[in-house]
Amino acid sequence: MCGTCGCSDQNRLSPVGIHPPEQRGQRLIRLEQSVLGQNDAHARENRAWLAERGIVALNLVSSPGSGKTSLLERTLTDLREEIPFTVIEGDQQTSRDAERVRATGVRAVQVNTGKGCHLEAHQIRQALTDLQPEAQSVLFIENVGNLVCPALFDLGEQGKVVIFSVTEGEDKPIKYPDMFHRAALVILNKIDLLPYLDFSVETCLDYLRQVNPAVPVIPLSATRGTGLSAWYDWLKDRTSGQSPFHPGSEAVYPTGRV
Amino acid sequence: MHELSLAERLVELMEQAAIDQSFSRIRVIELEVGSLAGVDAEALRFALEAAIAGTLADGASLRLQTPTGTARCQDCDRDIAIDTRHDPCPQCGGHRLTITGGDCLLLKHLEVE
Repeated sequence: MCGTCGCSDQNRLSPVGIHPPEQRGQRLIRLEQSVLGQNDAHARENRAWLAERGIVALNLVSSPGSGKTSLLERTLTDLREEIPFTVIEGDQQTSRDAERVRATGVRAVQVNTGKGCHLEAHQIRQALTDLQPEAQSVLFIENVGNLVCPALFDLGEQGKVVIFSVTEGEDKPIKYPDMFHRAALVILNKIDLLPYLDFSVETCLDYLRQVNPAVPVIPLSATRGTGLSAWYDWLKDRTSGQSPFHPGSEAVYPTGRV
Repeated sequence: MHELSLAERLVELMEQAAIDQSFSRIRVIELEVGSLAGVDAEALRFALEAAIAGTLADGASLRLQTPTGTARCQDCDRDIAIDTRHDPCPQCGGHRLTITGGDCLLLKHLEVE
């Protein structure tokens, strides 16, 4: 059997071992199609739908256990009288996080991705239909805890917020450059634990600057409350429309998408 | 392992192309997996070999092009090649780079019957 295409015709192989397609009743189809093109189209629709309603959508991404849901609970509890919020929770299984969010009095929809390791734009579209967030509100999308896969899938958000805790190691930004490169904001969580750890904030920021030189960084402790005011100010600036997302946080999806 | 969902998406794209362009067998699949695309080429090959079993591309050979990343350095204004997103500019050592290529995952060509 021919090792190139599995056919039984060894006699028509070219000198380099490839069948010229026109000689074998085969034809060449040129596609040049982006594999993520459909997701990107859905994301564009979501972005337009959100923009029409003046909704600020933030895609919260992190490793498992960085304190994403704790930060979200604290933020919703502290600001829900000032800012209308809704939440889309993404997890492989269970609706535990959506229940934690609902306990703060904020509406939430849980999306279970099953075997999927990330949320995709069509799931967000469905969740928006179910959730019907009000105009001029803030929508938090808590992605599946994973710093790899969610980097590739635009959901239609205005920006990605990467939450990264000091228990994870200083070099995480260069280990997961695709995600940190796309961040509109990096939150360095659990800073109350710094006295007990061998973690240099300066070294961590040096690594971060290698993949995303201009990204703002907010160090905080979601459980102790340290530094939360800087995060709340950043959030309020976004909702007032006064501060755009920092240059470079948009338009970071691949250059040649169809 | 987003390569698995990407492989499933590739099968959908190929099935749609078969309807649009009237073919019934795929013999060769040619992909472009840029080195900055965030996709592991070998993991994608493994996932795609599993995903095409029993489809119109069953047994097709896979050709993967893996172009290197390209960027423009905002500090020294040169076009440069990079392998990862944390590479510095080889000319000036700066990190303020605008990616200009090598970040795509494309279904390039199919050889079909």
